[in-house]
Amino acid sequence: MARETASEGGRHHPHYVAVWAVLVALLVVGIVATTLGRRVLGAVLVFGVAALKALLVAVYFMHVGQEPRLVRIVLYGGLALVVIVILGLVPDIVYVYGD
Amino acid sequence: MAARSELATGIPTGRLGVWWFLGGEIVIFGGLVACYILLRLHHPEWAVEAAHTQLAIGALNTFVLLTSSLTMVQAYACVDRGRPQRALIQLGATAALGTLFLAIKTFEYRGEIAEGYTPTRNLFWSFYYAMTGLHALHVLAGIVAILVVMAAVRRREALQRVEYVGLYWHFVDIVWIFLFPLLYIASGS
Amino acid sequence: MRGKQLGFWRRYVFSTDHKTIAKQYIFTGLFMALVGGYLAYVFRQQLAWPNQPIFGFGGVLGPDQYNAFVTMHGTIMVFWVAMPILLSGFGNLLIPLMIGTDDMAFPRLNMLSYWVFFLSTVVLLASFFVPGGPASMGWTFYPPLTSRADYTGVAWGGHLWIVAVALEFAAMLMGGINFLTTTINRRAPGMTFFRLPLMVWMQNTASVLFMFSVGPLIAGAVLLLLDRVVGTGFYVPETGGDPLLFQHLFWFFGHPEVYVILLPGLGVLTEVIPAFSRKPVFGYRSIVISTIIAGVLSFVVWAHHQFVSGIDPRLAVPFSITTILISVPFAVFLFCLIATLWQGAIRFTTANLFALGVIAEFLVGGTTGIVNGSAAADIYVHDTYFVVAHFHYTLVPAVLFAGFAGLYYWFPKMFGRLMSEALGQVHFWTTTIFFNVTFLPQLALGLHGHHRRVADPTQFPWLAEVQHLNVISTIGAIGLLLSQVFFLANFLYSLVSGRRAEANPWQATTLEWVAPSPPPHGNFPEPVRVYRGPYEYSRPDTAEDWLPQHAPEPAR
Repeated sequence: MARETASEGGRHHPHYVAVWAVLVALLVVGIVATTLGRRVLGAVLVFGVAALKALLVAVYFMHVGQEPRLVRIVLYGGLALVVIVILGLVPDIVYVYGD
Repeated sequence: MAARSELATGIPTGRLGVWWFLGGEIVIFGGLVACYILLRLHHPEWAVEAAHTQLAIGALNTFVLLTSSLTMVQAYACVDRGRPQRALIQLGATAALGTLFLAIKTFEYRGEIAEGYTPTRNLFWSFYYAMTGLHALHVLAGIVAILVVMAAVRRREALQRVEYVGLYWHFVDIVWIFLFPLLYIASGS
Repeated sequence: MRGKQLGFWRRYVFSTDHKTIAKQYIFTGLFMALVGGYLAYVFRQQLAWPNQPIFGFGGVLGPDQYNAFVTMHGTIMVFWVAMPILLSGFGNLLIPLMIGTDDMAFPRLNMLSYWVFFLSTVVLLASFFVPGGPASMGWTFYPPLTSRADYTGVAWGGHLWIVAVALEFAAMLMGGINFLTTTINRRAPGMTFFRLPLMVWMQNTASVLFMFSVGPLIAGAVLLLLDRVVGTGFYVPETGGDPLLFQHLFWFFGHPEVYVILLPGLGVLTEVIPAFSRKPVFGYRSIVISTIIAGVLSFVVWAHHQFVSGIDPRLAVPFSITTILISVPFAVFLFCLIATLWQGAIRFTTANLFALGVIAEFLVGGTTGIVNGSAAADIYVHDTYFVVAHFHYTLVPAVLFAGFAGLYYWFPKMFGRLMSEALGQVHFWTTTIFFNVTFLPQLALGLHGHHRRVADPTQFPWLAEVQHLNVISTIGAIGLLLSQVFFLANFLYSLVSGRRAEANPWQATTLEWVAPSPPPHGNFPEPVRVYRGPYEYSRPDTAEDWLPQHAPEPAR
């Protein structure tokens, strides 16, 4: 992804096919990880790979890195709220008191 | 004539609107995923049900959607480099891949329902249909949006919309990137 | 002018002009306020004189209907009165005018927003006429009561309730995207973020809060609709679902929603009080910063609505702390407004009276909130009339009083005519007196153990000695409703034959007063440029006691 070309609009276009190849390779890694038979390691690998894929799409296809700070605040703020919801509800929904 | 205004942030108004829209979408899908994760952790026995999802079909669909993101971003690159005619081809490919995704998904639903894995079988399958169904509706909306944008591009109008519909399409792709391991892979063995 | 070329339908009905859309929202909201007020009148009658035929209703209000009326009263007042008038109405009217531009960033999206909202109104009103009647499960719509139609006997009323609320959310989301994008990208030259009128800050903060809190509830409502229609069991315990999950999702939205309504109301105050005190607002930056802090905190207070719902007791303490913490930024806000009055040349116009009324009444709402916010005290008063009185002491000032302040203040800008001050003063005093007659007794009723969801208080022996308080409260409610006749008469009379208003009848400084009254399509005859902050009143070096934002610096 080193070879970048600038456009008329000033946008930097990375080598998109290379990004896509990495994404497909990660997809294979994620599926192989499930066959390891290790539950915790498998889960970490699978969701780590998913997060990495999402990051690649956001950075190279959606050009989040080239946007002003405001855009990143909107996106990360939304993600932070989802994390807050999950963490706030764990004691109530996952470990029900008195179970 | 009315007052002209300045572009204070340097970000085009349409793109800014799309980003706010996606911010709202993050919390909608995020809320749904949060509900699923919480109840899934509460019910480890759902792993047995999750083992009945079709990993191969899910992986194929992930591949289709990742590839459609590639054609979509290349359509934007074509527009950005001043070649809208080539962008039309890439947009058409994106819409076709989106349609292929929906066709595979429909085939998958049919097989599952035929084997008795219906939305009311148990909560895991309720979540499976609710989450993939909401995602499929977004794909469908994306295909319609691409066709509308293509009609404008053919007239060489509103070329910036190629980027806007692309942002939405990549977002829907990212949602699937998370749904795939959540529903298909994390069987918990 | 472009407006002249448009036909009747494009000008008044399917208009993309932000001012027309604002008026559509306000008129729809006022109409729904009448519906919501009527429902309150009927069930207050039942509470004061149980099981008697009700004048204007034609019969006795049965227990099922009672539940439906209370549910629809709450739903309508929050989603179909407060939001369209304060957020969509004032926001659409004022944001483009105050930042000095010709229209919203996406005018057609704006039109779509109103018509989706209109559709939601039709769906909600239609639910009154389906078999089984409208939704009757409480405006919070808690499962498991709501998750199966046969639990309540209300099938279509419940489905339509969810659909109507979903459509309303979609409309407000479109409006919110428009507000934020417009404010960020379409400000007039010189209009920096810290020169924005505080109303614009409040509208945008409210939009952000709405956009980021409503998502999980939209997801949760989809699941609830599937429970009701398809027969899944997301919130049904015997299938492994969890009813508490919906409560969490509802209040994760529901508490920020309080501020979505409150902030535009406080925004009205930040315009009205400086203009009628002839003083700059005290602590502009303190107000902005405390609003942002309150907005962030509002996402981590939600579980204080669920202290008695069987949530994990370990959650109660952190949520008590955040809840009491959030009163700090609002105290800062109110102190800033009070300090704005200090040594000002106060003009007691109707708009200003209502604005001052908000401060006085909201104080009662805020202090009773401390009682509800601490888990130990809340367990005693929860679900009693104490809570009912508390949230009416917050929302009635925020919606009704601030809404009236805004309508009296911006009426000349909207319609080019002034409202009658004499009728307005009568309206203010009757409204304030009867509002307190209605809700002060309810605080006492609640502390006496009057549950908020009983259709017939005479069934509970310990309430016999306080039944007179129910009667006083109902008399207050009838008085409160009758007081609005002064407003409606004033509004309609002034619309057709009020005194003509010049562009700036209140000698105010913000940009909306530069445009003619009412502003034409496109707002400003010539482009405006901004030279200073929004509240330059009583500057010692100027001849007049106000210096508008667009006026060049006076020669010395």
